[in-house]
Formats: sequence, C-alpha cells, structure tokens
Amino acid sequence: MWTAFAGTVKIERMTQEKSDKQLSIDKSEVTVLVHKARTGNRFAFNQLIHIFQNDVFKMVFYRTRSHMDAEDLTQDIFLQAFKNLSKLKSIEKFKSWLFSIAINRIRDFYRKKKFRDMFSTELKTEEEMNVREKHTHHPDVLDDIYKKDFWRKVESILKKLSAMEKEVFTLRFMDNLNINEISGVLGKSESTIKTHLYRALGKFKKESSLLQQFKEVLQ
Amino acid sequence: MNFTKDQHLNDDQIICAIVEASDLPDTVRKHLAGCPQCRMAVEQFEEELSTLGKLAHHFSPKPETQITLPVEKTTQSIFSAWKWQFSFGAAFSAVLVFVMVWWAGTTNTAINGGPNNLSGELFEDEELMTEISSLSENALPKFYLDITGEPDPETEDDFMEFVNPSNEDTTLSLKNNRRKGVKLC
Repeated sequence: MWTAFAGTVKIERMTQEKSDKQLSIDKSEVTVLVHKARTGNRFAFNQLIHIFQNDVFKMVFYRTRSHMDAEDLTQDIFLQAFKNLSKLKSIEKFKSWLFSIAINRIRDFYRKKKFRDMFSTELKTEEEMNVREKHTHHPDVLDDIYKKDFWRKVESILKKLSAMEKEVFTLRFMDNLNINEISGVLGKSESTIKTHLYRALGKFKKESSLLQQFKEVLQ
Repeated sequence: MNFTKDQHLNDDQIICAIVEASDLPDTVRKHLAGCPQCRMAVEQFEEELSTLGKLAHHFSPKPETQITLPVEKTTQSIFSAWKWQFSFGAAFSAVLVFVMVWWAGTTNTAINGGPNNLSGELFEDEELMTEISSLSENALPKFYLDITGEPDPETEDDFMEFVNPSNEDTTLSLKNNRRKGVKLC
C-alpha cells in the first residue's frame, strides 16, 4: 500500500511544501484580511474562507469521518467566525481562534449526537446508510477500500491514547499545527501541550503493539 | 552527560527532539548534531509521523460546497431619510383630506341656513309619515276604490252591521229564555 501511494505522497509533499511556503508568505496577508474583515469587509472574509476552508474541512473530517457532517460543520464554523470576528482579541492568532471554534463545534456535534442516539437508533442507521451510499458511488472501489482500511487503523491507534493526547497528537501531526498554535486552540500552556504530545509519542515508541499498528498504517 | 560513540539518544530523547528540540540539554543537542545515527533515528520517526499526516490528508475528501455568508442587512433604519419623507407625506395627505371633508361640511350647513332648515326638514318628515300611515290602511286613493270594486272600509262596516247587528233583538231572546226555563225578573 505504501509503495502504491509513495508517488502520490511524494507529489503531495512537494505541493505541501509549496503551500507551506505560500502560507508563510501569506501570513501577513492573512492579518491584513482579518483586519479588513473585522471592519465589515465581506470580500476579505471570503478570501479568508478560501485560504482556510480546506484545512478546517479536513480537520472536521478527521474527527467525524463523515463527509456530509464535515461539510455542514465547516459551514457552521465559518458562520460563527463571521459573526464573532469582532471578539477576536489578537488578529495574528486568527488560525488558532478559527480552529478553537472548530474544536468547540465538533464537541457540540458529538454532544448532540450522543443525546440523539440515546433516543433514536433510526437516525444513526440512516446516516450510516448515507455515508455508505456516498462511498459506493465512488468510482475507484480499490481506493475506497484503502481509505476505509487506513481510517480503521488510525482509529484503533488513537483509541489507545487519552482524549487530550489524542487531540494534541491529531492537531500536531494531522492538522499540522505547531505547539504555539495548538496551545491557542486548546487554551492550554505550551508546556502542557508538550507534555501531552510527549506522552502520546512515548506510547508509540514504547508500546510495541501500537508501534506495529502505526507501521502497518504506513505500509 | 557525555555521549560516546556507543552511547546514543534513547527513546525519550528522540521524542523530545521531535516535540521540541530546544528543550534537549546542550550536550544531547551537540551529540545529535554530530551523530548521523541519532539524527537518522529522529528523522525517521519524524518522517513516519509526517507520512501519517500526509496519508490522512490523502484519504480524506475535499470540500464540495461553497461557504455562504448570511445576507447582508440594510444599514438604513426605519427612520432613514426616505422613510421619513414617505411617512410625512402620507400623514400630511391624510390630514389634508380630513380638513377638506370637514370644511366642505361646515360650508354646506352655512349655505342651507343651519338650524332653521332643520325644523323644516322635521315638518316634511312628519307629513311624509302621515301619508305613509294613511297608505298603510289602503294603498289606493278613494277615487280608484270605486273602479276596482274594492269595498270601502267605512261602507263595509255599515254593511256588516246590517247583516250581523251587534245588539240582539230582546223579544227573540226572551222567547228563547222561556224555552230554556230561565226565570225572568
């Protein structure tokens, strides 16, 4: 599986590096856009959406594993951000602020889902059917199988981490946020974030079964 | 802590190098900079974690729907200039119509004589009511009653009196009473 995707990953890595470069250049531009959006400039906010939509969407998808829910939640997150932009204290921390909205929105989503599932099993099955339907309509069946297998393995790895370790690990290595940004998103000190990350990586290194699972995912 | 050729970074130090390399002690950092084996171990683990992120990115869909912001509300308030003009105009025309109607009413009364005219109207009404009450007894005038053959209410009463007198004949009634055995006195 790894060899099959090695080429794709290599290309993606190049594009990622390219986009990282672009993002670092655009960091000051983001600040300018946030400043404009705060004064009621809708065009500036639309540009911010254009820059961050993909990141926010992927972040939500990693946690919900549902395309439809990720779409809906992304819409909600940006709407909430648009309404509360005036409350943002530091313009430079827009990304962290946006991601913290996303984290809270996902928590709300799970809280509601848990409550809903307590009373209805029909909704759950219907939702599952929708997801399944979406997957079966995918033209590349093999790719679909790889996807499912990958997410199943990731799920089993992350299950072995505590809630905070899982969150910090996902934000650091899947959402590609740095320690400072994670600290802003979760509202914890940098040293706390580092401790949780250290513990999470320690489990990977020390627990042979987890390390084995992790290597399986990458193969 | 001095690192020799045989002494390399342990797992904790490798993790620490990944989490935050600046947190490592100077000696370890120096060793890491000069030891290709340790550097490779750190880079390998880092690469594995990075690959996990890239695969997650690869195996996740792309957003399809476009984010739509709520429709912008008009900043003009109810008391904006245009609304003021419109409401003022409407109120002015309503007042104008009211004044015109009232003025027309007062002038008409003044022309027609005011209260004196009112008593005349009352007299006319009374006459009309008398005419109506006479018509309610018989709608046709007396002249037409002869032609139509309709009985005159006055002659009708005389005729009915003749046919069926209201005071009975006393002689007849005495005879009848005797027949019934009623004592008279």
